[in-house]
Amino acid sequence: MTLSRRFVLRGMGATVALPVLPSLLSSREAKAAPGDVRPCFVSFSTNHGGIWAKNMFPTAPAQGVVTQSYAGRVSRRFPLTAARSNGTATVSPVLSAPDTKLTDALVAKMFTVQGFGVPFYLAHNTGGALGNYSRCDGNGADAVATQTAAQRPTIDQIMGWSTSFYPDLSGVRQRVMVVNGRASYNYANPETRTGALQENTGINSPNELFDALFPQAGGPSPRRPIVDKVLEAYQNLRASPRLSTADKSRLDEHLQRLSEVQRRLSTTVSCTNVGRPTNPMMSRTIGDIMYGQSTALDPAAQAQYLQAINDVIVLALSCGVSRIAVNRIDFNFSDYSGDWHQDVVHQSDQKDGVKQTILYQALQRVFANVIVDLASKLNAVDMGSGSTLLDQTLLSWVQESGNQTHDSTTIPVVGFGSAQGFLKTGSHLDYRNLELPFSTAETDARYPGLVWNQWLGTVLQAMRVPKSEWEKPAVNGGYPDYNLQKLDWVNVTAAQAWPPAVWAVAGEVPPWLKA
Amino acid sequence: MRRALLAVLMASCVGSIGETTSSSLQAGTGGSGTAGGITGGSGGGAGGGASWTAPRFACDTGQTPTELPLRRLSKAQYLNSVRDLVAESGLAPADRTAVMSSLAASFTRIPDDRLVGLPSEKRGGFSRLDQAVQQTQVDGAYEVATLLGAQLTSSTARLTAMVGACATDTSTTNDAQCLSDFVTRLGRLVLRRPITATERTFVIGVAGTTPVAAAALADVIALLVSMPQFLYHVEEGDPLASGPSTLDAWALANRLSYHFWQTSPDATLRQAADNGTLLTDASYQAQVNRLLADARTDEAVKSFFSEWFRLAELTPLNTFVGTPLFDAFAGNDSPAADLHTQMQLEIGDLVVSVMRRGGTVTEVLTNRDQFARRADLAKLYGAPAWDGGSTPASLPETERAGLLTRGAFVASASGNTRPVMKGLRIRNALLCEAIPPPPAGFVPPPVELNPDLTTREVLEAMTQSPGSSCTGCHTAYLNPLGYLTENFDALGRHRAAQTLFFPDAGVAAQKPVTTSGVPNVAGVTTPIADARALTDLIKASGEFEQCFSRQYFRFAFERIEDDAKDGCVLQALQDAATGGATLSQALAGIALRPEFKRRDLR
Repeated sequence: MTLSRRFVLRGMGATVALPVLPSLLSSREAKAAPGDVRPCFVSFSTNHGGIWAKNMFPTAPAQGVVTQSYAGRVSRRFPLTAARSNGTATVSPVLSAPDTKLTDALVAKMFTVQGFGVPFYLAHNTGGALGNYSRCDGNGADAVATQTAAQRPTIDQIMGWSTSFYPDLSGVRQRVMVVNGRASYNYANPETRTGALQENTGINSPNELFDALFPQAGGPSPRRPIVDKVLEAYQNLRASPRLSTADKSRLDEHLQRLSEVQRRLSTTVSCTNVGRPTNPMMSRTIGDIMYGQSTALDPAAQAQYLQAINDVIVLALSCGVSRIAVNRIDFNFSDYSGDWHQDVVHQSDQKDGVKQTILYQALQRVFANVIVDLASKLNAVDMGSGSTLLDQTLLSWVQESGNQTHDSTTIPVVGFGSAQGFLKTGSHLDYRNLELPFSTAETDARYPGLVWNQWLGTVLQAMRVPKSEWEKPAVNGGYPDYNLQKLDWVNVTAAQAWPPAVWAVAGEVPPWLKA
Repeated sequence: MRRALLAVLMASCVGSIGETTSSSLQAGTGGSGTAGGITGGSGGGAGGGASWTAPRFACDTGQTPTELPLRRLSKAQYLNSVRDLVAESGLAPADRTAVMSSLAASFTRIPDDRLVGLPSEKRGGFSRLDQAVQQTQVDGAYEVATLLGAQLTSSTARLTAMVGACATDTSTTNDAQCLSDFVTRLGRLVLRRPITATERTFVIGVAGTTPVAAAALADVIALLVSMPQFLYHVEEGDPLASGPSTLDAWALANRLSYHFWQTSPDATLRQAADNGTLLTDASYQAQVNRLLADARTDEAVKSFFSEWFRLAELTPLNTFVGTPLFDAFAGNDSPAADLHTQMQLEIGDLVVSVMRRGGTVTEVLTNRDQFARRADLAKLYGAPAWDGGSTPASLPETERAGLLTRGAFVASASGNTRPVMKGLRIRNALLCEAIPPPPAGFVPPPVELNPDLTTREVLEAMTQSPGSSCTGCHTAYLNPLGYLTENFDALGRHRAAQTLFFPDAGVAAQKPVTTSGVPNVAGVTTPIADARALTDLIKASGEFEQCFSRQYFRFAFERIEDDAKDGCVLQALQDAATGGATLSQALAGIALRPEFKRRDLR
């Protein structure tokens, strides 16, 4: 069932002033004219990973696999389908969900990619998913090197501060909705791209996210906001000859942040009088859920919490108060009562498959309860002209590791939505070079593919951010401009795994992914 | 193939690291200083008057440290400053409470400061060092300012109490003067120095044509509380001078106050700044002594030691209550949800007690007084609870050697002890030594409870097998420091034997624990028996005091030290810590240093 934006707002517990909505909708529908509606990006990343390929991805069918030579290797594609049994739709062991949610229509708007990877060792990282490899624990020499050499803004921030992505900020309350920390990074002064690279910490609760997006209307104030005067106070101090140059740079960084406050205070939010959803999870904090005795081992509670955040994200994208969301999922999504990281994640490659099963079942819960939940909610919002909010969006889910914990050479990508017609959906794409196995072990057969830079560059292109804003082709194609390539394996060197032909295409959208 | 790769990658952890003369383990240092490396000493015996010492810092007065630009208030400092501003607003106590309550939600929207330390100190660092200015901080500060303005002016009673009767009387002729006086008074509190005439005119300008209307005054307050002088430590000087600029009395008062109390100067300190007496040595010394003696210093000292000792690593101990194996392990001592908090508070009480009773820095390590205030924690120590005021008794169990054997240093949530993590914390946090990270590709196997083997035996088989690539780091640097407290279980209870369980939680056996080990401390590897001997060994080495010097420098100056450029301050701290100075003297000493009283703006 496809719902109008109005229905969605009310169904989520929001209270919308009826006299306002007709004008709101007509206004939005006018904006929905072809060429004017702009794409949205929602990024989910999960810690760890280490899911064997046979658990993560669909099995290639006997018939219907299309091949193509690309970057010196043979790539493969086949249509995504979901087997339906006992109320469950199954694309793969991880990619399964209730068939009422993971419908054929939704599967047709889904894609999976196997073969994008990081060509150096990057264990224990949270920043790699969006391009800041430096946010890692520094395990091993390669990762230590990245901590200083690979400090880059994440792609969500590049989009958020791009005038191409946001040509009109008049209705935008948050450039980027950051839900959890250690995932989104930018310079201290993002506008000038100067200063230290620093983290954008996330919100504490769904309510907090909602409040930042939908300021609750008070009575009309006859007085102007004081932000102009606050800006002036900082400029006055900056003019002091008794400060150092470095002091003034710090003030510049603060001034830029104040300018953002000033900008937001002048925004006109298109969805007015949107009340907070009444879900009791709205007031809970991430820490509550993660460490609380009643929720730490309760996947259902964790799902409900992230679904509450999903609701706010749908509201935000629907109303245009933001078009980017970043959610790094910290919850274990398991009732396993031991040391999750040490006992399960680190042992997920044991041949008996016991810990692997615990791990992939946890990630299946993430898929069914969080990823599909949001995809189906976005797909239920009618944007007019037969398209839905999901069509306008790229919803991506990636993991820290690939087939094996701590190994990022083949990071799984699960996507929904075409990013306003940029991406082609409905297929499984496999860019791995099956002629160069890192390992042929039964549990974790692993192969090199294309570089992660190419995936991140593809996302930026899908968001219509011109390459001139983020690519440095003299260094390498794609994003970021960091190409450490040092993961030599026993039978495959890094040079063999990611030869120049792979880097030569890093700035392209790979085959079959472009609509 | 994978294992072959790992062997190659782990080569960095094999070989000379376990040797006495190894140079692979360097002290955590931010620079290329002369006292950075733990280079070992001349040998000696544990607990018997060992003669080796940690390296000494060297002072080179020709060096110029690189100082931080325009430091922002930490979140704790900011919240305290708002709290104290409200406290001095003149509002009735109930109104003050109501105002602070109304700000609570906004405070939560300001992000907590991250711990910032060296890359080699995973989970280490101090929140004061987080100097990032995020959008959420600026958003939050603006929200707090506007809300504070609205709250302080929300009733006639509040206006009268704060601004004066001139703000609520029927006369309009006194309004301008009323506002000017108010801005002068409030500006002095908010800017933490007298407001200048230019600033006063600027602030008054926001009020508009109805200077003492509630909305106008709300804007005045909001503007003041949003000014950079409130959110940052603004210290001006001469960027063109040939050397560092001497701080003026107000800047000095602010440094003192935020250093010791994490908040703005009180009336006495403001007066000393106002009349300039703070710039005299005697008055300054008196103010340092006064601030140090004040109970507000206790919180800053607790914060320092809590972050240095990484007490936040201790997570709730009740996570696995209700699972058969954990319940069988815990028995009648099933932990409450906040038992770990009690263990953290115990360390806070310890350091304050040492400071207030004239104990030395070293005594933080060696003190054996019983500070558990709550019965459940005290029971784990076999002692009655401490009342929080009387002279504490000694811990009754002689095996309790001091800091290393307190609950916060031995407990873990899983029901199993974690010798490697215990050893890592002692090595990396308490002794400031870096441990090379696990090599690329390494996936640590679990140290699982075993029905036949103690935790130590499991770990030895796993990490200390002859020829193992793990043994270089684990044998001398990690495991022994953890083994030495294996006579305490994961709840912190003393034990002579470890109860071994079957997977179904049935008791398999009682097996004696072995605590002896051969750790490398200060470059010397020597056999010792238990945590008491380890405490003696660390005490004799001087490493704890050297590490204190580094850590307190970071806390005080809000940046990582450079051994060469900051050698004079580090040396002074080390001299005080190793020379028998009291903890109070060591803490106060840094405020008496010339480096504390100046700022380099070049």
